[in-house]
Amino acid sequence: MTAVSNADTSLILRCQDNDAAAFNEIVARYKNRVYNYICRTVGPGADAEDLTQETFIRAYMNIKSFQSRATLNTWLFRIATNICIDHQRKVKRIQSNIVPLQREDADNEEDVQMDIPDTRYNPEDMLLTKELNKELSKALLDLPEKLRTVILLHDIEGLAYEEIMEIVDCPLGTVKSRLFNARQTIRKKISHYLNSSV
Amino acid sequence: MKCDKIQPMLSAFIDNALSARDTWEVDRHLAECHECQRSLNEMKRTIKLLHDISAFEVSADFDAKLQTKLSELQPKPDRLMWIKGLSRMFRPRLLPAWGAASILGIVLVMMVFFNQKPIRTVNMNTFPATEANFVQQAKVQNMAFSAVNPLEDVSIANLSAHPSGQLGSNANASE
Ligand SMILES: [Zn+2]
Repeated sequence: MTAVSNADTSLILRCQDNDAAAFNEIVARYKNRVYNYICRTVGPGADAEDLTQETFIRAYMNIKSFQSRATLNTWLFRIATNICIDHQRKVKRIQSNIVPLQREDADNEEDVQMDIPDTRYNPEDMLLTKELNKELSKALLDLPEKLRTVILLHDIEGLAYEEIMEIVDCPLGTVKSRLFNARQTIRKKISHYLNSSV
Repeated sequence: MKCDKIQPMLSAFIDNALSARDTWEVDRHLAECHECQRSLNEMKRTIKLLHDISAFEVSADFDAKLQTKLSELQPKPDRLMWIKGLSRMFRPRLLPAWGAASILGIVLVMMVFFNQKPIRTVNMNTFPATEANFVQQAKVQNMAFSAVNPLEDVSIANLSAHPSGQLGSNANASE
């Protein structure tokens, strides 16, 4: 972890000295992780790729003001998170213009209720089948934004609690409780898989 | 502790992010509560599945597209470039160099200052050694003068080179 962040720090210093190759290396190192995160936030497709490009453009334009206090990891995911939030607000606005009386998205962390499909699956097969992959992906996309951000960053991107606190600007307790709620929601959604293979 | 207190702690329990006290409470509860054990196992497997979920990858032309967009940004017509250049010269990494340079500068100024002082305030009687120096210096100067060209009149050459001298002669000619 420290080896990675040391390498990242030297890349940033080189970028700040206008070394174009260093920025290309940052892109090479992070493009798929950022893209994956954005796909899981707004859904895969052309939009996700555009937003990923926007993330790197914004990083490029602001690299001089990068504070060595943060890690490159944290910084890039923070930019990506903000870009996704902006994008989803825009999308919401457009949708609410088309359908004036649309139900507000339940952003409440406490009462997230999910419909559990009652299909049964092969008990011995707990591999991530295409089907399960799809269902998990949908469950993630259906999460309220605040819960989704935390579970994506922790359980898929592997960021530490402290890094997530910095990205979402919340205290540790909030990160923990959002992560619990997100995991619990996903767990309930795929409980038919989980139960069938006990 | 009751199940509804334990359940919300299971997530942080899996991540080893509970205090020693809470970890102990959860451990103790799990030893005798089948329901919470089941929740724990399901949550662990949910996390494992999320970890194994397939990852999306950018399309093949991602880099080329990004490069195009970045190159459009590149030629910034920056009017404040010289300020940036200046601030770059004073960036933290170069500060030790600047410190060393300024100390060197101060030392040089002091050396010049203290070298001049004895010449100005020299007292021939109290410093016989410097008197000898002066004599020697005068000799050297004399030799240098005579080495240029002993036959040339220096004062005339200087006068003709002077612009006012030329101006004067021009004015005379026009009259
Ligand atoms: Zn219990």
